[in-house]
Amino acid sequence: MSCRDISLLMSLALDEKLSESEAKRLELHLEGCSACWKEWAAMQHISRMLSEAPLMPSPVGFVASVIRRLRARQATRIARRRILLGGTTLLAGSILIIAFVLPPILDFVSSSFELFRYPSLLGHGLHLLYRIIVIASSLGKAIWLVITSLPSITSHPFLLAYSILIFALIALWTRIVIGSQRGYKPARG
Amino acid sequence: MSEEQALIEATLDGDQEAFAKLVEAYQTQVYNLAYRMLGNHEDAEDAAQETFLRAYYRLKSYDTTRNFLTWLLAICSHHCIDQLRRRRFTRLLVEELPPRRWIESQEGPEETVINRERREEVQALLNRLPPRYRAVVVLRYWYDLSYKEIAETVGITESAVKTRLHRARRMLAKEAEESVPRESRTPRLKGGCEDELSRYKPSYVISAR
Repeated sequence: MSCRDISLLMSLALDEKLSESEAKRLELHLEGCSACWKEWAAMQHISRMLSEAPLMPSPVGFVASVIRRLRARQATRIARRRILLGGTTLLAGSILIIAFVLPPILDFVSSSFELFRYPSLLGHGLHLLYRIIVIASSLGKAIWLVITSLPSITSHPFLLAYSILIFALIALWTRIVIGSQRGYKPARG
Repeated sequence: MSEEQALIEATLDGDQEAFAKLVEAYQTQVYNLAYRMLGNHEDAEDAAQETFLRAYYRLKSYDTTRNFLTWLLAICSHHCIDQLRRRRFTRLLVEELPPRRWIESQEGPEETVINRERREEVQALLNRLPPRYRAVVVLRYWYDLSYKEIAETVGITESAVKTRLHRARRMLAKEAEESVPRESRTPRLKGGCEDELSRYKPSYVISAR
């Protein structure tokens, strides 16, 4: 057995992991090898030194410092999430406004200029009411169109799969956003 | 449910007082690991605090069948190894050694001079070990963990633990041999270890493996 293998046995011996035959082998080798004998003595010396080294008390006020740091970090995280959530909502809202709300409003405003051609206030009012009814009814028609076109989706498997995917993504996103807000509880005390 | 389990459950429900009790119960062990790994009080305190913060945020993923202390020590040792790597990188950048701050003592008069000297001697030795060896040695000697527990804590196999402990001990033994004055080395060590061997012999044998 080489000195290197013996060195591993020494380490195992210090952890009391030697079988009887290995212990015997170690003992026999040590009797005839002064280099290993020195190493064994040094390893034992080190081992004793390490196992006798005392544990130190933790710093004064350690628990309080941890809790203080935790609260500070929580506050930062909450602030960061709020900014993220606010930003996302703003962006989503802007897209929605641009896509759905802005065109009818622009249409309404541009057509409202015609109002000035009417001479009476009643005329103005009636025309305004008429425009509102037109916009509301077209919105209703659009919603009705979406609802009535839903059954026809089933005849187009790709369209159906796409719709399911979109719904799933919306549900997941909502869950993440709501969950991240609920996960934080205000610090007590 | 044990008291520790109850505290963990309460912490998960957002009770910070329960978390404070957990910190109180394990602060010494975590702090000592950080100190042994990093070698100075300042960094050790910071690392120990960071360990508890990480534990707080990862508590959901804590497997209750595992020992809570070993779980904490795992977080701490990984954090300390990262810190040491970062420190080595910074040192390479600035091309200078960090001040030997472990010599400073922050203990009050109650700590005896002998204790402090011994601690510094041990720490100076530990500081010469590469971080991954240091973690294994500290967990073996100060926490008396088995090979299996060390393997779980550090995230390596049991045979890797065996190898690392062996290499670390060899390195430390070499350092210790070199630190003994040449003229007094052989007789002193030889005389000392004969006593040691005869005293130690019966206990290192285990009957079956």
